[in-house]
Amino acid sequence: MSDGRRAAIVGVGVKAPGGCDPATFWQAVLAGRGQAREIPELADHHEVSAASFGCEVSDDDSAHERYFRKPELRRIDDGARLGVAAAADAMAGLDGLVPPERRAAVVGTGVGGLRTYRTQSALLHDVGVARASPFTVPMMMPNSLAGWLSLRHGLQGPCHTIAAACASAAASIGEAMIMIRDGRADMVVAGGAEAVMFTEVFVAFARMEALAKPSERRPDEASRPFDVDRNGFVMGEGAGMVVLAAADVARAADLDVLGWVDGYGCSSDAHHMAAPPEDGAGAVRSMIAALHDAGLSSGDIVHINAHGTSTPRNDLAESRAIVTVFGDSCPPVTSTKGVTGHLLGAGGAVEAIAALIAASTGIVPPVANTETVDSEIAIDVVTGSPRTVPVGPALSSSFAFGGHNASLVVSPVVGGADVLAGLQSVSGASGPG
Amino acid sequence: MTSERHDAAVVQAVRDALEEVVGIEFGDDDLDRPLEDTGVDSLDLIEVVMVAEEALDISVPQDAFEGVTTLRAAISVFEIHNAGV
Repeated sequence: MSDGRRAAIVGVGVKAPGGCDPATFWQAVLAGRGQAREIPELADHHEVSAASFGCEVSDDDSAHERYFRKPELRRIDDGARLGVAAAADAMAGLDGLVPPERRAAVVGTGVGGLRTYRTQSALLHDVGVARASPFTVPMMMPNSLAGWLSLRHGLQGPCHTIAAACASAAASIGEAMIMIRDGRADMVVAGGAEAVMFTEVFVAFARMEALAKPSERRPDEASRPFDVDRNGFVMGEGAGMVVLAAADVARAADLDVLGWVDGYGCSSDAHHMAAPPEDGAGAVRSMIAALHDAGLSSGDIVHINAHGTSTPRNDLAESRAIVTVFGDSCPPVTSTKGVTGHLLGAGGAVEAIAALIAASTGIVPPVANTETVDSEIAIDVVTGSPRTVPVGPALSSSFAFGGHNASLVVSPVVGGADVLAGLQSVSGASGPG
Repeated sequence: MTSERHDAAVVQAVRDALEEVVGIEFGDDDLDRPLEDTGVDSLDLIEVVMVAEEALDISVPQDAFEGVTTLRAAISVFEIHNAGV
């Protein structure tokens, strides 16, 4: 790969618990403010052993007229709506800079438009065929967001959707990086979106005993990755999007480069459909592959944004994997899921963006809520307050049901654009196209 | 005014449905224009019909709209079915 095909991050958009623009989101993450709230609908299912709360998008502005004409909102599922809005922010000022056939998208989702299926199924059974929307399929299909992005931004190159459960967004950014390197596109919108916080999904995860259990704690204290008292993940919703451009293209267009995606590794466990091996072997292969791809050694990484779900199994296996890869020189580790909950197919993108800001500012946010790190977890978990680290590359990992693993290396622009200033300038600047 | 020959409730229901579903307002001059020229495609029409049916509290078989290429024709289909209510 020539340096000219290095994957530059030239746009960022976030619609997440904690904030609907990157700077606001980052402040919530830095402050370690857990975003979980009671969701009344979920409280109807006391028979499942799970707490009835989740992390909704904070001050959700994704239905604003700067993103959608009102009729369009009838024809888009919640997750895709968040994704389109986040991508609009990320693409602000970038439309039209490369020829349409050189523009692409790779976006992830765990399940696509499941709420649409739920709503339309109820209409069909309760009212009849005549009330079933003719837009059910385009709203429900997992590639709905990719279709919207193609239409909205005139993307005539490849527009792919990756379904790798909770690794979907990280894998999407990684595959987009490869697309840039290989020259298949010059600009790629990449990330993930998910919004499935309703009864059926809640019960499904609860039946797996994956969700946080009822306790004396407040909802916003329940997601506590790596803590000795963690007892499951807290579901969240949201979207994260980045725009990648080939370095040569970014330079020619005089774009502000906010950072780089320099490494991508992925692997599969071939072990169990919904549990990692105890030694996190698949996670190890994913992280090592990302480091190798970036041409870095473990000692070059200044910070890890872990998958860190707050489930007993993930956090322990992941910590063992980190120890295997980094040995005694483990860089500071955080998990932003203490703040956001688990954004499922969107998580990897929102977390890669957090990792980018941490890498660029040299400030690692603490894991929200985590007070006492599990004694079996032998990694350097940042708790209490932010930690200062050198400006340098960060590793962000996502691991998923199905045994899918994806890791990204994101690098700051040393001496380049002020990443936070750059991010602040992108929020909400784009309208329906 | 050509729309005066039509059932005012039906015209209003279709007008409202078009605005809600497609985001366009139509005037009398649009009644006889081919639907595709007004920005309404075949899927839009199905949704417009669905919303108008709901407003009028009637149910029209989907195949009744086969061959409908103008708003006036769509309104006429509604009028036929609305008359029996």
